[in-house]
Amino acid sequence: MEDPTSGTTHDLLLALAGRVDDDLLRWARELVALGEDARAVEMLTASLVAAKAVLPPHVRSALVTAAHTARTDLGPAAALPPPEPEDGTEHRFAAPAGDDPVAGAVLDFPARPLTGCTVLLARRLTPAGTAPGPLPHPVVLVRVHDRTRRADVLTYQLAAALERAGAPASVEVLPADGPIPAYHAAALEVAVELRDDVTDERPWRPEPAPRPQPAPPPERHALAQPTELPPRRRAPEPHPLAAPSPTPRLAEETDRAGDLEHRVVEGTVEDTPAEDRAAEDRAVEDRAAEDSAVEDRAAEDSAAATARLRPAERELSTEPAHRLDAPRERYADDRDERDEPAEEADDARRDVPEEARAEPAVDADEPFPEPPSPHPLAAPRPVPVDDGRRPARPTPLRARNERPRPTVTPISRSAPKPIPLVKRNGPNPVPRPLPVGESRPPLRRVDDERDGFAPPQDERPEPVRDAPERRETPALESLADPLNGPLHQPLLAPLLDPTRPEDGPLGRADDGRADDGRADDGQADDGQADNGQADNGQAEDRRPDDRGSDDAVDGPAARQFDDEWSQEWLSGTWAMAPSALDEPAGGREEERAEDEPDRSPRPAPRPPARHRFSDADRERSDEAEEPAAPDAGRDETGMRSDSIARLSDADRQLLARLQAELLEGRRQRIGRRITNGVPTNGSHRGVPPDDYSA
Amino acid sequence: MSGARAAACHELLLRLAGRLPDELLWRMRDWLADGGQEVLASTLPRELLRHRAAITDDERELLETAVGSTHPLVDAVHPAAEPPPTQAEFEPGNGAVDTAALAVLAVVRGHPGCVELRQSWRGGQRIVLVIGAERPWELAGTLQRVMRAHGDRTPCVEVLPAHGERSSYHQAAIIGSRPLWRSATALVGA
Repeated sequence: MEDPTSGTTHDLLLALAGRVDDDLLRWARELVALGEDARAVEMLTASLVAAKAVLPPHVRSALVTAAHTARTDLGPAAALPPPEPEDGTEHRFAAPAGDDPVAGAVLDFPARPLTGCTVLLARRLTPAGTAPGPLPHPVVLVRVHDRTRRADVLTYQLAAALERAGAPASVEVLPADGPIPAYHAAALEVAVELRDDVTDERPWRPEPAPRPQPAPPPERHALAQPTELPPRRRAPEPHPLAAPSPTPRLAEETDRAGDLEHRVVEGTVEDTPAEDRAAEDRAVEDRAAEDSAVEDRAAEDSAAATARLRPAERELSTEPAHRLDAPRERYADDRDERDEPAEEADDARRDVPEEARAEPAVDADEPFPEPPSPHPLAAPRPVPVDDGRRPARPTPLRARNERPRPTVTPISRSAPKPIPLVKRNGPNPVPRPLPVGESRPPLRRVDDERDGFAPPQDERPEPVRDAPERRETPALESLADPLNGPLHQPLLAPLLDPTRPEDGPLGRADDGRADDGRADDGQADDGQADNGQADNGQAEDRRPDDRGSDDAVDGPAARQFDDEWSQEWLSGTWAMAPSALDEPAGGREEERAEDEPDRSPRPAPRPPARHRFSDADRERSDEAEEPAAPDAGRDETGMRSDSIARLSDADRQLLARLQAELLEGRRQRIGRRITNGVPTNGSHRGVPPDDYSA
Repeated sequence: MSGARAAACHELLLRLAGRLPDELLWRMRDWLADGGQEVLASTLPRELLRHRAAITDDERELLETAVGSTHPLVDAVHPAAEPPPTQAEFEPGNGAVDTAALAVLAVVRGHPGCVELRQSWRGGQRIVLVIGAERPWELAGTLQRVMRAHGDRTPCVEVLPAHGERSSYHQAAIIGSRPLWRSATALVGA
């Protein structure tokens, strides 16, 4: 980092800290965070060239290299005055006051971006650049223990947050274990630690933990206990503490903090001669003491802090020194040895907080081991949540599956389950139930459809509900509703019932179960004496299917028919034809089913209607429609005569038409539909039901 | 040459007031005050292009004088028949004089050639208008730094010639301004 020549623009910006005005530095960092390094370098170079800034060799060379890379026309190599080595920095810093607004803004900054970071605050007492802002200028120092995040982005984020909070400040993000420019070293000497999120890496985990807590609190506890990270997590602590004052936190966290806190709390910086002398090594402090009382105070503070830290620093510095030496070499060469103590002090500071928490290196490593803890926490959270969600979602699916199963039993009779299931499950249940408004009932209907009854069901329910548009789907839904959810559609059943008696097919479906269905069957039977017999046979099979136990009995024979029916069902013609067939064929169901596959499919649709009626009738329609009640005794064959007797003249006429249609085959079905006001398409059968309802 | 070039730069930067961001304009004026004509020559054409600022023929002449006609980007700057009318709104404020205004006044009073000092507000941004000054770019740089020292991060200091055509931006600013000081000699002379 310190080595501006090391490469990154962020490093160059660090090296230029204090050499240009803070607004330009903030602007450049924003540009860098956005990836506009070239413009950032151009602006910096222009300002330095215009100001004829004298830079140390390493910074100047870095700037020249960056400007060349950015293709600027400024030519800093020739425009800038010759380099001059520097000894330390001319800038002086002081500890912030207890009520520093920047400290509050820093404490309010979310902990997540600062995970693995130590944030310190200092006030620069000296101007920077040719057009400096008011002083003392706040400088936020971020020591990054976790190298996984981008320093330039973090700098921009924190600076932007502070500016939004109305407390603009310079943000300097430094590596925790690398060499530090003299400017930052001087700032760190007096800086007050606002928050130590080195454990933040842990906090990262803890943060997610609170979220999952509702679901998997025990897991968190288990994780937290072994690691004891939560207590270490200082980020959360500072937040609560932040409100009172940032300084106390600092004191708590580090030894320095303690000293600094006392000073800060007092509101004045008190010097101790011994400490100052110890700090004399650092030219910056000495300069400060000489310059002015204020400067003296700042220097004294920094000196005292450094002196106190030194022992620990030296101890700690030995380790980091190895690391730092290599990178420092260039920088150290440029610098005087004076810089080293500052660096050591920095290291010591690092170490100090780390020791309090844990070793810095350990902290850096910890984040990696720690992440598992958050992971487990996160995992539990989603897991319970997902589980809860999953079961809820699947339940409807299961319900569908379950529903089809019961319906399957009737299906087994009427037609092969697999075929109808595919067809029915796919198109019928999905679209129909959704438009109808009751998704669940349609599911049941689907089951009915699986049985092969679906097409007829479609017809009946459709007319009742939204027949014209949803056609088959509503019918299926309505059918399913009576079977599975009679309670949901009790109202529909009565509506269906009146229509059913009129519509022979609906009545048939209801024959055994619902009065309405019976009435319908009677109509169909009456009108379709010849065809009606075969249809009736089928209808009977289907009816028992609808009934449940009866369906199981008829299953095998009916299944063959159902296969044919299922094909017809798929074609969609079934729905239309079966309704008509069902009505007339009420008596001769078996014959038609066996003899004619086409007819069999026709009756197949009828059965679905039966399902509706049977279920709905038993549960719903029975009560609603009285005419169906007399038909109750009509089951299948017997139903025909009864139904005919019950039918009105108009109904009888309709039945006659139906019979004629049955003779014609599918066309007859269409005719009925037309009579019902239903369009020709089986899918449109839903319309006829509407007509019935109307 | 340097004086004429700097004057051309200053005149061009004056005309660009309200057409380039304040944060950029004050910085360029600061560079100019520091004698950074070369810096402006390198950066101004690029910034004009970056901000899609079109310039009139007169402004192009100023640009060529300031930057040099050989600059590769001068020809790339968008042309404009007329300078765009300003949409900025200025208010004279309540007349209160704060320390920043006093500091500016202190500097202006001692600068040769200054006739009048006015202050206006564009939203929350203070606009300092100085009419008449020798080496106006230097006065502008100084006043900008004074303003920054008082917390104005993007000082808007317009050091206008005592006579001459002013842009719509400056006309609106003068109309929406309040006088802070007027030279006695200028009044007597008038």
